[in-house]
Amino acid sequence: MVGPMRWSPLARKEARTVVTSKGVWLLAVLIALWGYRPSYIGWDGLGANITAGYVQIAGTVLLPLGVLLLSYQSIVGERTSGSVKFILGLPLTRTDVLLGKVAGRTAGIAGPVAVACLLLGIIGLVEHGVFNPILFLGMVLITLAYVGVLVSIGTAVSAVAKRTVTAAGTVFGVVFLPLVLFWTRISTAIFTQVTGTPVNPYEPPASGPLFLLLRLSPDGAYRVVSNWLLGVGNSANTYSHVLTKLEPQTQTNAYVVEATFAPGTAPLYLHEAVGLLIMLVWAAVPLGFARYYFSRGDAV
Amino acid sequence: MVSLTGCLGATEYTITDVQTETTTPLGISVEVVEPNAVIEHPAQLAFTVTNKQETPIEIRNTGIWPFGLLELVPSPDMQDAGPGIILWTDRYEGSRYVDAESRQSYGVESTPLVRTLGAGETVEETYDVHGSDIIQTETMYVRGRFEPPILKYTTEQNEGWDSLLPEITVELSKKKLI
Repeated sequence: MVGPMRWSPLARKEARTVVTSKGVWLLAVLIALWGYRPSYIGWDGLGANITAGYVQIAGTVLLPLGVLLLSYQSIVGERTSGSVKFILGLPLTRTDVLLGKVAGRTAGIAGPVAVACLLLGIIGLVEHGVFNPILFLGMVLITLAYVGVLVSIGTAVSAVAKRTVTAAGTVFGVVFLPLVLFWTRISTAIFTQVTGTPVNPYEPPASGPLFLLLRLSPDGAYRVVSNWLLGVGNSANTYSHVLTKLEPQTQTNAYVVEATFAPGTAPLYLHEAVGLLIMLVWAAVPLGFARYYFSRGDAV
Repeated sequence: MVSLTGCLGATEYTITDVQTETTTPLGISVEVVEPNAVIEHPAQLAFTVTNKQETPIEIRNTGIWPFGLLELVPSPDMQDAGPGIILWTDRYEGSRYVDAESRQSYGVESTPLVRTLGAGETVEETYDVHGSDIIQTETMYVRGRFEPPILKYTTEQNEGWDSLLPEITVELSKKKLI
């Protein structure tokens, strides 16, 4: 039996467990409420496609927090309860277990998140009129891909952690806080420490490494790609922040390639497509490490 | 929880009332064309000036004729008017006497624009009130952006120019989300 065929029953069970939990539906309601954020600058920049912009807002802050919280127990929870023995008793390799967990949990979370996006689409259609459905679909798909990346990170932590509390502390203190909430501050501080160049967020230096650093977090990469789809500008900030930055005679602390680099001078590695690559790396590398430790360690 | 929907979004506004003082020999009226200043579009006010006399009246202004650049201010007291909300019309951008880069950056030349309003004649101009420019609600007063009178005029009987500064009040309130 080939790999996917082996782990698909486990993935189905995992998806069922998640999608029938209250937590994921609470997250869906919260991100819909969080995402619907009409703005004058958003309308001026996107028109009725502001509805697609709401999907990006929905994918910011609450979504990564919720997905990480819904993922960190996926393996360590079963380990502490002892039920991991049943899973390891199945004819599955530990890689299959990891892949089944990630695929199943991603599907289980992606369903309610897609429903939240659909709700935003309906509200946007009623409030602002017809938007570009292809753009909206693209935004939903990249957001669901971001869910997959976050589940992968959460599951990797879960596979390595010995205790539930360690996994919870790690996804919050090592992933969410530094990589989602405070990444801009951390990355500019790192840049200043390494290069000795101070960073004024209102007029940042036209430095390729600085702008690359800003988009190396999964959150930053997601926004680079989603801003690319929206066509607002090349930046790891939210679309409305980018639009504000690109307004003439406006000062704001967003890092936008078009506002900082002269036309044609931005390094190739700042192309938005690299954001997809960064997301892919975040999906694969932590899981690769987790596979290494999970396969070698005492999983029970 | 539903009542939270959109609470993080931008504030939108409604013009709930407009009152205009009666004036002679020029009659000024203001009508609400579009009450809602929302993200999709601005609120709109139509200003009308009518010559109520039997003889022509000359009207003078700067920027565009007849009303020039207008704004809403929170107090009728010139000393205490505070920051205003520009009343915008695309005619600013079309006028060679207005340097209109944006609603945040504009200026006007001092070149006087003088035209005659015939007996009984009426001229109308529609101005936009953009929600993103509104910084406070409640009662606002209309006045000229750079000089308080909304226009200056002279009749055949007058030698000089009289200023017209009627009390025009605009009631603004925040639009309810649900």
